[in-house]
Amino acid sequence: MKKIIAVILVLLVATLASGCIGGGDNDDNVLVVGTDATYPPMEYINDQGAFEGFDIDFARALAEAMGMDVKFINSDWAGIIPSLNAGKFDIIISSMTITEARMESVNFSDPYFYAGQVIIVGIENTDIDGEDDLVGKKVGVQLGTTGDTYCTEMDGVDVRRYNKIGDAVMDLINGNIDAVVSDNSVCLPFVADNPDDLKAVEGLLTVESYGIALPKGDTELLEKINEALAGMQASGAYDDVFAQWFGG
Amino acid sequence: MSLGFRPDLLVDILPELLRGARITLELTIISVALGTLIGLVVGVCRVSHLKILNVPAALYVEVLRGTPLLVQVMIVYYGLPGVGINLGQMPSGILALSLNSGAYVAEIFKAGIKSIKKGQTEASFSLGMTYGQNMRYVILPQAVRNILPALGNEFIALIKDSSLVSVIAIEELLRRGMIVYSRTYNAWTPLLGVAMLYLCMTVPLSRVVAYLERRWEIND
Repeated sequence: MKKIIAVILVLLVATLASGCIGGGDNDDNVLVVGTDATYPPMEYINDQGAFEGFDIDFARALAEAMGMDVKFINSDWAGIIPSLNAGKFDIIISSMTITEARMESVNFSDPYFYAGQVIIVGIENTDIDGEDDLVGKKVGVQLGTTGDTYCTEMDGVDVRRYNKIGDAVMDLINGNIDAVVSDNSVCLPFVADNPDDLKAVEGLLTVESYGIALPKGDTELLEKINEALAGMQASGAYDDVFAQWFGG
Repeated sequence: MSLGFRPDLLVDILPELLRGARITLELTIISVALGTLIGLVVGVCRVSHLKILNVPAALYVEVLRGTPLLVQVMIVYYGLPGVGINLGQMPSGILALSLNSGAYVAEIFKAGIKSIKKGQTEASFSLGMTYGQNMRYVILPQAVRNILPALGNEFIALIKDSSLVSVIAIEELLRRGMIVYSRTYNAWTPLLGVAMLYLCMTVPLSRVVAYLERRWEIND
């Protein structure tokens, strides 16, 4: 009985000690980033259990530009803003669209990523330059996505609906359809992987801006982040990370 | 890519799910240990005749058993920072599971203590033992043996309940399965794997509990 109690007490102390380490990230030189890592290719956990994705690499480059170390904390999407405001992490980088509603509870940095519907075509295509050129063409989309809705609402587009966006891209490479319309974060990686077969049409059909979210009061960090972001865009550090995930 | 069962995918993700199962076991073992400690103290207070002990103990059990564990987990992680207590994910999960388990274990201890016949206490007193000595040397050793199967069942229940802490993004077994789902867009395979691994943990334990119950019956 005494031994059992001793073991329990040791566990108790160990738990409390780990609580101190887990809870208090008071180290000023670590940028603690909250993310809901279930959204490939923007942020996800790879099969080795490590954080991966465009946002992850972007956050690392941002921290480097700020001369800070970076640490990621996974969060459930529904609880991500409450966690930020409870001080579980310093900022959110998690494909978060800047909206009026969210600005009531957090501050946003300048946009760091523009998400939206993009047209991709075969490398030799010359007659599709924008959305008007889709009329009369065979356009592949993923069933039930924004791209599907967008193309279905346009008159005169021959919409081909696929279960997987990868199937649509495959049919595009095989020459069975003329274009694919999809979220840029979803379909640009296919372009990056097949630069000899595919290219993206310049411009987005719809635009949402992703921003870095910070707690309302933290204007000092907000300024530092906006400064570092502008620096990354000027130095080409941002383009390097972008090209790595979405092609040039 | 099919949305159905993919044996190849299950083989690929098994190491990842096992890492999650390890976290589940860690969470459960630490929480059961702390919960048992809490339950012992609260359970002894529950059967005390002193109002100052049994009223708070009864209140604790009432509140913790009367609110959903999911709500408790969220209060500890998202709510407590509001009063200046900001715990990380694992400590929050362990605290919520331990406090919750403690309430159930307290009831188990209460039942165990009451299962010992009153005559034994009277005998202890007539030997000149104090209340504390009687508890410690006579009642509790017998009570603990009697409640071992019930504690085993509590352990099994907590293995399953620990899946609720996935809501604060602790990467235990269920959350691991959902992470695989988000990456592969196949829900059926990882969730079947998750269910299978929960069974691998609970079935052997329920065998142990059944064995303890049998042995206890024979000894009686």
